[in-house]
Amino acid sequence: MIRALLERLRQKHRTVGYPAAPPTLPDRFRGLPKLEPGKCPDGCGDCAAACPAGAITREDGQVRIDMGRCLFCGDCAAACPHGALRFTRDHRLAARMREDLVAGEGERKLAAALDARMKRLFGRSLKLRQVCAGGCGACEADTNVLSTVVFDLGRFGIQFVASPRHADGLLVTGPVTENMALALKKTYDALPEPRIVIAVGACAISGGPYAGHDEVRSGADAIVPVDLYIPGCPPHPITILDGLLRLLGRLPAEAGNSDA
Amino acid sequence: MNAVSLRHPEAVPVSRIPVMDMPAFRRGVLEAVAAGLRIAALYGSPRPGGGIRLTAVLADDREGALSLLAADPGETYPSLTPDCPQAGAFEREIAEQWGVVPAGHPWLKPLRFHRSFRPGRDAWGRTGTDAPKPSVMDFFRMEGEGLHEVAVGPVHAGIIEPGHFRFQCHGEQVLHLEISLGYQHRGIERALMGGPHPRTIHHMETLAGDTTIGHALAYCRAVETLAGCRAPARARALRAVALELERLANHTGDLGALAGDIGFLPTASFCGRLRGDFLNMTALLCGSRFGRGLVRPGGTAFDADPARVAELRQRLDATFRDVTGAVNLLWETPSVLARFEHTGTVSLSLAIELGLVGPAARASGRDMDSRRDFPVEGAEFGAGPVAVQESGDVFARAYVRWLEIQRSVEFIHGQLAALPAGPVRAVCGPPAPNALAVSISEGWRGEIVHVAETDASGRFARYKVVDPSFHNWMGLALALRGQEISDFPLCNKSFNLSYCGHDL
Repeated sequence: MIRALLERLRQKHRTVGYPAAPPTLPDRFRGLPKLEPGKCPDGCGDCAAACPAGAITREDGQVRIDMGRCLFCGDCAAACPHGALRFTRDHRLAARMREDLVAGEGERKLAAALDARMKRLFGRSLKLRQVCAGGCGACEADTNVLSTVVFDLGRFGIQFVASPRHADGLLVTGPVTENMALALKKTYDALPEPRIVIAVGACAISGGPYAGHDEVRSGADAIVPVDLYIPGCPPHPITILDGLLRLLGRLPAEAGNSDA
Repeated sequence: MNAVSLRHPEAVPVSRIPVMDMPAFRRGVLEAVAAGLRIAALYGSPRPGGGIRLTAVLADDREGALSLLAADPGETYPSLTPDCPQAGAFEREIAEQWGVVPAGHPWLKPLRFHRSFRPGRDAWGRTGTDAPKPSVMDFFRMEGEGLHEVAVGPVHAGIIEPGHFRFQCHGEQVLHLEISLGYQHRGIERALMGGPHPRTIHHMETLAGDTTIGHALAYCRAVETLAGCRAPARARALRAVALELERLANHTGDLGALAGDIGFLPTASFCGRLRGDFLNMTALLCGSRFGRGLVRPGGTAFDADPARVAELRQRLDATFRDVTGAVNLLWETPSVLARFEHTGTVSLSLAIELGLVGPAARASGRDMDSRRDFPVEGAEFGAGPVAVQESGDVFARAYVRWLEIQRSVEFIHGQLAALPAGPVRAVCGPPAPNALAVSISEGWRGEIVHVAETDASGRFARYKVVDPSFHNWMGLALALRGQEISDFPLCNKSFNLSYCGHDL
């Protein structure tokens, strides 16, 4: 017992300063992609050709990246000879609408908060049930880590619970395999209303690297209505936390940016 | 024996692999296993003219040698499983993928619940257009007074992957556990045929997301071997470091989770954080906590400058100090040992019979580790002792992890202190046509085997992936026999197997 207490003293307080302080992210972190289409010569499509996920399109000269498909591998930035595309360290990626994940030249929309009624219900206490539907374990691991002392999700009133009957929302990972489609639907149906659904990771948003496979449904919104999309492969825990807090209206619109 | 022997990693022309008749193939596999070899892979591939060819990859751990056997079974052949239990899951896979029936298989049921790769050839004679439904099959069932059945999953209480567990119980005692998987099946092996594709490396990195480096490494070495390319020494060292960081993160997380499952919260809390500290070291190298984007054919996509290496070594020391403090609490606490010892025991003979790999096999006394037996990346690892325990219980599986943590830290320091100079990436050309390469890496769960076969145009005619979990799920099922059902979470965590690595 005394050894456990001494060790506790030695290991110290380790909870991150975020959201009061900016998050600490690795210098090679690949966050929000930034495009400078002015630098794109006519007819160049090197970035789109380099993308393994089909996330980049060029229509009417406008290059766009669909962050819902993006694996954040950085191959496009490496392939661009004109410096028109780079990944910033901005971790704020979540969006409420699927189309808001498509990044172009203009301003992007950060995830808006729930409406007043839902915010009153869930703003100070949100219980989530997680369903992994073909996820590789990475999105799951970086969701799970939010409950450790590092992120201390409990301080925001957010908690993962064992039963859908006890939950206010569903957090879905994975491309939704054919073999999990029914279980996902049944879990959703078991949630009391009103309820929300959060899709975490490229797989749950678009199918990710498995998009189009016969064995998957290519995203959670093929089965259940999604209220919040959190892109990444996998998203950094801070990106997930940012999305959850924005949904609950607990972050000022522009807060918590590390590097735009 | 009419087999082709190869060192690791080495590519052989497909034409050099003799095709035996089925009785000789069967005899060859059984004799090799009786002589102490293991089935590292056993799979079917489509022949250009139609029909299926079986290939067995047998591993001789003591000699560090691999042998290949091949045969054409026709549409049915006498099952190996009654005489060789470690073939059980492989033969179920062959039946499900290709519709080739291993006659006399004692438990011939679907493994992943997908359509046959050969339309119209279904091992269970299923017709119709509907996809098979997961776990819709007969389960092993016991009946009698006081016996009852407990069904769990696919959706579990925690944030974990889906699987279905069927327990036959008498009171609290588990008499039998059957595990039915396939919920995570994403069609990876089907998609790999005709590859490599632009998405292939991403399939490898997400094959089992917590083993991104392990599988990416096995894949890159397979295609490098087929292309006659050798990654530069600096890249090999960085890849070996990344593989050990992955092991450190997962082993530390597992020890914390084991503590959590018995309600010993200090170690659970500390290790929950420390696991993330190791992930952040991987992110220091490549920006991703799971090592996404780091390992690429020909080497690595990132280099590490001296300042980065110094930072990594400093963080490694600090984190290892805390891990030591957190983990030693386990071994000093009688209530922890009381729960770990004699729980979920797997004997050495059972581990050998089932072909278990990785920490689960080493915890039962099996002296094997592909870092030593089939070295490539950091040959220096071969000099080190392999972490072996004898008791085969939860304690042994936990303690093996702790021994490996210490060894990995030492190894990483050794690599980083003498990082070879030079580039981190060589040009890796296209794979040679009509060739086969076996690539092995020791992921944190154990031996990862990739077998790549190319066709006349150098595309993958077949790409077989064997995640360590594929061997080890049966070990978990048998570890539960005679245990209290309330010990299931603890036993499960002591194996901590991958669902998606199994389901592919």
